[in-house]
Amino acid sequence: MEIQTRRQDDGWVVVLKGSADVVAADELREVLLNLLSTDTPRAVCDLSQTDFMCSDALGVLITAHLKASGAGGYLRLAAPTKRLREILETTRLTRLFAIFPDVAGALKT
Amino acid sequence: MAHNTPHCSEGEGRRKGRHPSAGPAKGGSRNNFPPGKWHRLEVPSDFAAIRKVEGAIMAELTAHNYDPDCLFAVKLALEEAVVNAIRHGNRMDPSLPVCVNYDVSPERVTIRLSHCGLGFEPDNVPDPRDDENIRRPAGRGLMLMQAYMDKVVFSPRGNEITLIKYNVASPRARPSNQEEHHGNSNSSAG
Repeated sequence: MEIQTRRQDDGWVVVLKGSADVVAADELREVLLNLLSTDTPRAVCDLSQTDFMCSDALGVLITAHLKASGAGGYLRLAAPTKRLREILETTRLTRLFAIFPDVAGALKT
Repeated sequence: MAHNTPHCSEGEGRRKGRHPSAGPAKGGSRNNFPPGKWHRLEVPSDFAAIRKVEGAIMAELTAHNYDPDCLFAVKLALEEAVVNAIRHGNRMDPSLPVCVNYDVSPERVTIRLSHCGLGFEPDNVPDPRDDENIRRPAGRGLMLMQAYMDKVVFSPRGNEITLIKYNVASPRARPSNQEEHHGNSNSSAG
């Protein structure tokens, strides 16, 4: 998986390209937790190019969400692919995460 | 190293000295391999090895023209099963292997995966979808396997799992009940 990060508006955008498998989950954890440890604990995960996500990667998103929330910020999800949306619904994590149709909308809300 | 001769526990089939390629045993014991063309892989307890297992099985499914949804489901369930075997079964000991036996037909794929460690009781795994568990970062692997596969069965010891997915593109995808003799029903879901 390729992870790209950038600063946009008042937060971070983290683009996940490819397969978020168990090996990629470790890298994702490091990237997200580092970003959310800054004085800008606000991040949007762009899932528009994520074609696979295992339970470990889901766990990383949950951990990051809790960390951001605890710091007064957020971790939001944007533009999940059909398969990602299905996984989030199957696990009922749609109740935990704020999910937006696109990155811009997630940052502005 | 904890074991001098590490090997996967493969239930009754292993104890009887039967190799999966020998085909189904007579007598219908619950751990027998059903008829089919079984392949066997043995990989170390290293997450990087998961790709070898996935690659081999995905290639077979693609060759049999499995539906993209089936491919995704099997890839997800396989990843979860191997990770669980490495992490919870073999306790991340790289010297301990994970054994994967699989049979791919035009109608269905059957994957049997075992590890060297202790088993577990699937019914005791908390439902990660419950309100009290929804914030827990771990514990979703089993649920995903059950959600995405047509059948998930554990051996009585809980250290071997059988995953079955039917090829929805095949008109003969679902066999008669008589063919489904894959052990007990500790855990199954559609």
